[in-house]
Amino acid sequence: MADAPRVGFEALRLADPEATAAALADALRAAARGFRRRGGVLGLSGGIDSSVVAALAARAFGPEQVLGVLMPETDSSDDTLRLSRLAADACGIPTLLEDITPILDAAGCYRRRDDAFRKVLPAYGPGWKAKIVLPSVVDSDAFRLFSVVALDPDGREHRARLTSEAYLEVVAATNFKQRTRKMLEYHHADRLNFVVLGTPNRLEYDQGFFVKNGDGAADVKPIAHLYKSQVYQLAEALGVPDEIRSRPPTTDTYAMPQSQEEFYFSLPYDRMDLCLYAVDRGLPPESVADALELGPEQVARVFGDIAAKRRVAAYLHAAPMLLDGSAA
Amino acid sequence: MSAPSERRGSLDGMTDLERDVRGFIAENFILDGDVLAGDASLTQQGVLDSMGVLELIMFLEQRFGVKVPDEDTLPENLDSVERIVRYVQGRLAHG
Repeated sequence: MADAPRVGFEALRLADPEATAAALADALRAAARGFRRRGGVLGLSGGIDSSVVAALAARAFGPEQVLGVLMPETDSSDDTLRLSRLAADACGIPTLLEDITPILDAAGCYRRRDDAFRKVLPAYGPGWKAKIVLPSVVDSDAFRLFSVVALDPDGREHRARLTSEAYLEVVAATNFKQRTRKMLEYHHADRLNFVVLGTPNRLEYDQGFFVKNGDGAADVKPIAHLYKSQVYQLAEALGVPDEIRSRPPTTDTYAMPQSQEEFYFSLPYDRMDLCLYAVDRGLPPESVADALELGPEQVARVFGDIAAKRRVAAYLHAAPMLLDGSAA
Repeated sequence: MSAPSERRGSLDGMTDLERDVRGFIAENFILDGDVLAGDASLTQQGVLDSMGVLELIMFLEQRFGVKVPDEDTLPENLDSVERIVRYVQGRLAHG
């Protein structure tokens, strides 16, 4: 068999980020016009994706025709608000603060989540902080089982494997966060006659790293076709502040800091991008193993994980099914 | 403790343990009545996903009274009906 072609990180480089930004701004304006809407609303998280979409929208519509909604809650990182405002100020868009903690509290988000944590950590209670983690897919063939890692008020760490019931209940409870944010985004879009802008990048969109009818909902998803590495290139071209561009991606969903690799992806984003690039093109694990400094069998595990997540994502992407009754 | 369904043969050659495992898979992972080969990979067939593995482990622990530690959650122990049956038999035999 012929040697597999070798592909490196350069394959992910945008040829001309400035031209990409200009083309996307034009396409975004045309998309909104097609919906007869005159601007865009988005939730700002202080992360790279929402900062880039905000900057694109400012170019597309003019800054005054964009609204950045800041929606922190009690578990949000201390940096969330400051970085969100930094992103908004850099592109000149107005912002609106909506603290969603009272809504989440009223919906029972925290109570339901904590009840679920207690099913595997009975001592969990007030003053504790927790997150859900997954073991590495690269290091072992073992099935990846979700665990909860928690810090008690004295700073001692506790860890327990989640049962399927507890896991589903934790996720169902925390999904209130993304769905509440989307509800508010649509509220402001409706009153302003704007579109709602989604902020997933290609990795998140492809792999189902979003909540159905939560952050997965939007009228336009301007960067969902771009690998996350390319979003970073676009960020530079669009003048997104350095501090946002140099911050590691987080989920900002649990009270304990949680990297995206701990919860979802097998590898840091740039390496996941390269794996996804290879899978998208039908390239074998050998083609990217050198660039990733991994063995082909390790890369094959990541490819397997990508395929597994695509199977799960099919449900998340599915529009409601219409049953025409012809099978009856 | 007596294992509820260990290694008792039946007329069709399937042990009660295997019947229980197959019943659980059919009931929870919807196979549309397909007969699953004993050595077929449950992950490659799309039967088991990460959530399914959690459910399978919970079933094995509750139904057969065995503990499935993290280090045992490997494809060679859990990724086919035959492997699951062999794994549970081993755990039951070694207490």
